[in-house]
Amino acid sequence: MPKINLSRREFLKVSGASLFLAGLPLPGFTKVKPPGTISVIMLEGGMDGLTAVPPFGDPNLSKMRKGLTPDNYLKLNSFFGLHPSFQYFSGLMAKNNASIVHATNFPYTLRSHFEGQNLMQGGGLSPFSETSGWLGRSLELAKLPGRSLSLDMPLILRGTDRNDNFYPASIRSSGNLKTKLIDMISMFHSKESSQVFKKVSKKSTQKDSIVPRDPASLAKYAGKAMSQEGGPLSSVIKVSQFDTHSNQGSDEFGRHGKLLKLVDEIIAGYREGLGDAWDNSIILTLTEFGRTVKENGTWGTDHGYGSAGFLAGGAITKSRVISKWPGLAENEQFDKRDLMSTIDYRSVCAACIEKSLDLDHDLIASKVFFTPELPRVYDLIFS
Amino acid sequence: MKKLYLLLILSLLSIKGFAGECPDGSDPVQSISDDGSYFVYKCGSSNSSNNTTKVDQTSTDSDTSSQAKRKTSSVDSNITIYDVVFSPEVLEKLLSLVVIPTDYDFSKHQLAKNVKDIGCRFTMTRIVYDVIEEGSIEGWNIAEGDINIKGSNVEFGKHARWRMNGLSTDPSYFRDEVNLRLTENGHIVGKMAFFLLSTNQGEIPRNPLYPTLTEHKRSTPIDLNNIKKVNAKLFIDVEDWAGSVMYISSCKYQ
Repeated sequence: MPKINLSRREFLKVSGASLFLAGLPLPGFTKVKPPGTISVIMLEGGMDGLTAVPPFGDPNLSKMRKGLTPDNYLKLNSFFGLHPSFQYFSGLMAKNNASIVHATNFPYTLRSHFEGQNLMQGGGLSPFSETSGWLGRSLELAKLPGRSLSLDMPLILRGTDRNDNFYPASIRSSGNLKTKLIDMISMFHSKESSQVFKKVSKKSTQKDSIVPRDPASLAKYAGKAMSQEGGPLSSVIKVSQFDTHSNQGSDEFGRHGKLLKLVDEIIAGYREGLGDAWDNSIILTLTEFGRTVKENGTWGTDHGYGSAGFLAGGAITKSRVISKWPGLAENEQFDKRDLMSTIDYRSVCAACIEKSLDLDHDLIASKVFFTPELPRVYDLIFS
Repeated sequence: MKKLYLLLILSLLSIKGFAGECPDGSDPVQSISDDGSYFVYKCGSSNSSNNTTKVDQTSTDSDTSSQAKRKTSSVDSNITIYDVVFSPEVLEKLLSLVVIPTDYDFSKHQLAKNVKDIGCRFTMTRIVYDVIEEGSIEGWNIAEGDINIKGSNVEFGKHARWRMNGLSTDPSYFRDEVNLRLTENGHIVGKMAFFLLSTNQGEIPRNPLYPTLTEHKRSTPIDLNNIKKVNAKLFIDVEDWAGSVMYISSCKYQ
């Protein structure tokens, strides 16, 4: 057995950096040029679609949400508006590169963050029914790798062993890391396990671990990576804290408005990073549920059902709002409290997969979402 | 008996009103009224296949312009497409929001014409204004390498590199995030990614700045009439406290 001759400081440097190294990039290269890229922005906490895209044409909106609807929304048409935080997104709508699906969500009505987030990532028939995610399964079906921009490998991307997760960090002296310990550990493992340690060793010397950590910069980095020939096809960025039970605010300076601004900046970051690859890209948001129609006693909203989904990218050639509007009157609400979801958001995800990965809808419906009868909404979004 | 006839007539009218066909034989299209309070049924153009959408006539929007509502017959007949419609003024304003940091309008400059392809060396140093007003030029290069001029286009070469660590080590900034042109009087104008501060290991990396390169009063421009003896000194304003000087020399025709 070889003698491990490392100082305590060197050992700490390696072991302390191992958590960091686990999140460094190992690009997932593709063998066949893909038709497009797909990026997901997960809005955790339950994004309020009624504030983000106020249906001002519904007479009940002003009655029920006086303190939550921004006065300075952008009129998209005679029924829907757009929150002022979406400055860049509104520009994309003007360029016919962005759309909104309203009164939509995954078919989950029990209002638990844990269950809802699991279902929106897993894409199964019930929470915690799947150990892989809908995007990972799609990439596997397309025999293409993906990449996640987060420290852990989120459920949404699990499903293919060629995925890689990455959360950029820069730890003092990590660039000069000695790989001796990694090499020695590698020697005592089987061929398969030793490959993992080789990956770690390789990651420790990669320069592109240096990326600012704010979500917009991550998006730009992801866009740049996806724009490269043979680069990754998919990325996932997570934004949390949408759970606005109190002091939600209405305009761009409120709590919810600032989060929406962050989403807007992420989309702008993707646009900037993707460059010419923007033309074949699709970016979509996910949230586990919407929020109650009525404002609560603490100037916020509680867990609900239907929300809004944002779509952007050059793959969209006509901006529109797509909705089967259920109405906001009490008898039109789900459980007399939530915005009803009238469009299964899995259909929207399926359309984006079909567009970016060139998979057949029926295959996506049955193999990715386990729902053969899942409606196809591709033409509503991309025609 | 009269009541029965009346009921029969009313029933027929009702069926005609709610489930009747359009003149072309297609089904009426359901949409939401302008005030959003009720559904309206209108006849539109017929569709040719399951995947095409029926287009309803437009309705007038008081502020902007007309809004077309369409629905598909392929998925759920009640899903409506609300087209996004902006007035010309709003559209122009919104389009200006989608800009890339290196976007620049060169129309206000007289750009160089008929310049043969030139390859030069460049160095950039930082000039700091916190002590004396005219600034003090630091004695080390923040960037260096080769720069090429083709027509009026100015591009950095393969050997161009920033020396500020962090993100600046990514060669794509010199390759992809530069939008510069040469003017006919030898100035370089436009926008580019610029690293004014260095990043030490362990520090959070800094994003680049995107200063505008102008025809600076203090600059000594590139002498296009004497390429072999070019010794240009181009000032770049970046921030209040510091900027940069780009030296261009050793030019050759390519």
